[in-house]
Amino acid sequence: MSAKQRMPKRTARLIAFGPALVIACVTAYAASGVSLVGSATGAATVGVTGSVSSSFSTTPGTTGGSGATGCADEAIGTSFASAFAASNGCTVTWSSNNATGSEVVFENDNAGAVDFFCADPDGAGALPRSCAADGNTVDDLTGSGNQLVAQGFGLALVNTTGGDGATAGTGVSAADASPADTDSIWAGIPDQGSAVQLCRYGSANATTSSCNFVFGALGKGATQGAGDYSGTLRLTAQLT
Amino acid sequence: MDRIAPLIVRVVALAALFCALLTVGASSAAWAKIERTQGTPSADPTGRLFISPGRVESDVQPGVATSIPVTLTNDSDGPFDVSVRATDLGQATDPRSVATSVEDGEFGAGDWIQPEISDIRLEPFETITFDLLVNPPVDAPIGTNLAGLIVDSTDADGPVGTADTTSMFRIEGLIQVFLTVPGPVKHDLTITDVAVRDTVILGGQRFAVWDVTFRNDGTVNEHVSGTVSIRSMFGNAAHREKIANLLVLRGATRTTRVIWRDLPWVGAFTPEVRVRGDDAKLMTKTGDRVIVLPWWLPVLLVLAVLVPILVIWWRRRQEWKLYLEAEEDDGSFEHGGGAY
Repeated sequence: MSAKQRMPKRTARLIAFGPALVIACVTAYAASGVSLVGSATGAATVGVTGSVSSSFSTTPGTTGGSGATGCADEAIGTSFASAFAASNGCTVTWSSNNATGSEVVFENDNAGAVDFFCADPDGAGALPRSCAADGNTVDDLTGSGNQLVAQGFGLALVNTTGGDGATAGTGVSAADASPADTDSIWAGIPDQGSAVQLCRYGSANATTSSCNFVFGALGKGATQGAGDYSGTLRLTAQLT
Repeated sequence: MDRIAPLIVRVVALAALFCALLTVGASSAAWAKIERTQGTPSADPTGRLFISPGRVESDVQPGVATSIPVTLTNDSDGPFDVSVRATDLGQATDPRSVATSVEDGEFGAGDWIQPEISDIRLEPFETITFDLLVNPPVDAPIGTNLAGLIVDSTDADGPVGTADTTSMFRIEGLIQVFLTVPGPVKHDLTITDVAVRDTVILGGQRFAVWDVTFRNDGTVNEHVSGTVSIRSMFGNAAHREKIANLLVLRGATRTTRVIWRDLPWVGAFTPEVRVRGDDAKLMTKTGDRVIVLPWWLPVLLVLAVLVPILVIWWRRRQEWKLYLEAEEDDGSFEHGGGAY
């Protein structure tokens, strides 16, 4: 090999490893996080002195659902005693001009630690069913990300709609268009004072944000007697 | 003298009565005031009850009554029945939320407030403004005290206040009322954690999530504002997110989520939280690093290194073959030449 032949080979090697060098340089540039496009930033800080006048709105609880009168006729038939059943579904709609956002949370409307479906709806003083011992109850789920197992009931977010599109809250793992008992999306219904998020919006939602949800129950294995059982779920809209 | 004494007693009594009336008038700025306004019907009503304000933050003095106006508007073409009641507030069990109504909160002030209305019917497109009376006790503790006003609404049905509330779902609005008694308050806000959700991002995910958690052990609510600067492994600030006016209740832990969208496709990034509470004291904390490494990058790098090596090896091999062939040709020529 002559000296004249070696020089082109070195150049050729450099050219051969060029792509690797280019990749390394581009990787390093990208890893610096520098962007030619300016990054987005959050909303401007709002000073707080005295009263804050952010407002919000809610829809009274008789909207939505596929039943005759929406939320007002939410019910589960007797089929839940042997198989999974879900209610028609209900919609909560809210908006707020609050820059730091707003939310809808849910909790059991029964005072104290009385389980959902365990209070007497007629106020006669007697529980409509025994909630004292296992085997006689359709238990509330605890926590989120649960399947609706036998003797269980819970709440599931079906979807979020509206021009401002809310997101699923921290109390429900995700939205499911057609929740089945085997889906791991069912959320428990907490006691009063332990409300969890159903839906949220991180900034001002000036127009409409809606969350559609259903109540589901699977009474398989439960031994409750005949009769109508009822409970009330309280949904609260507030600023965050 | 016998005539003057009763006169003096009467004058003193009248003066005392006058002073008492003046005192009552001065301390009670909260005269009952309910205003109803019929709005213009809208061709496209939202069907919602508008509640204002959503949150009240106000300084109050022990034993001094005051009032806060609250406005409700029915933006629907049907009447609403509205009931209003006071409650204590406490920390939400979910740290992503602010507050929740509780029966007996540790710093509860539900019994300090009283709405001027309880049950009322709002006609279509009607607005009502009423006073929320605030009457802190004379021994009201220094610091922020937590109350709330629950606004329950249903479509009107039957006499006011008799609407069916046994349906499966009830939807309410909650006005948060935070009343601070001034004095030697204590500020004690800390950043307890800056946790990354995904330490390593290998796939096509283009966002990173950090949960920043604050703890307020002071005696007043804190409003947290500042930035989260995210630095690359070279030390430069690659991105910045604002934390604006995040409310952390006294005695509460609150988490806010910081999401960096349009994440670079490769790199290692570390967040640094720099925020201030209401006492303007700067707090900083560095969080967990996130490593972004798309699966194809190592493959591409290996290929970019191996392919040239293989090409060079193959070319050398070809050249070596040619050289040997040339050597053979030269040798036979020389050998042949030598034979001659």
